[in-house]
Amino acid sequence: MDSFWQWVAGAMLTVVLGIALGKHSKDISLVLTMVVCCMILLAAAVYLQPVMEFVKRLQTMGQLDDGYGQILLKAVGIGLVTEFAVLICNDSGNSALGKSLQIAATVVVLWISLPLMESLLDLIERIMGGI
Amino acid sequence: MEIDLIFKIAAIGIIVTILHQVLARSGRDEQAMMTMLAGLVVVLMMMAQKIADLFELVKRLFRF
Repeated sequence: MDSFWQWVAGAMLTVVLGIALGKHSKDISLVLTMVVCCMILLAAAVYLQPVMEFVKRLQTMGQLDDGYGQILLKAVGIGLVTEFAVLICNDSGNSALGKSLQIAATVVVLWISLPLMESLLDLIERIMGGI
Repeated sequence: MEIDLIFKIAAIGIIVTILHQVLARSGRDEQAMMTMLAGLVVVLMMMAQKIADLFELVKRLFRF
């Protein structure tokens, strides 16, 4: 929990340094922001590991198909990475780039969730056929 | 969290800015631009490592 306060302090420090640098070299200021974002996300991932293990345990307890859980996890991963990239794009003033990345991520998530939709369709067909 | 990396990048930014100003004022615009570019490349190399680490972690964590 202590490291959380370090992240907050690091982010505030970066804001000040970024403003100071931004007046003369905007590019290096942007790189500084990106590095700190990466560092905070890397540090936060340590706390995500036990959560993922818990999700895996729930999956085994509920005897769910591993394929479905994997699709869900992949979608979450794509969402997180895309959000990070989109925010950086917006910060640097390239919102068109960010928006197109968001659309691309949506398409990819739809593509990876196709097996889920197919199995849902199969289930509906089976139920309707049974009636 | 590696706070020293934040200071390292900020220091590079400040040094490069000072060098750019000095060179630009003395009429060496080309060298000033090259200095700025070199500073940016150095900082980008630092960033590339961190981004690679992050993507690798996301791939491992979300079982890609």
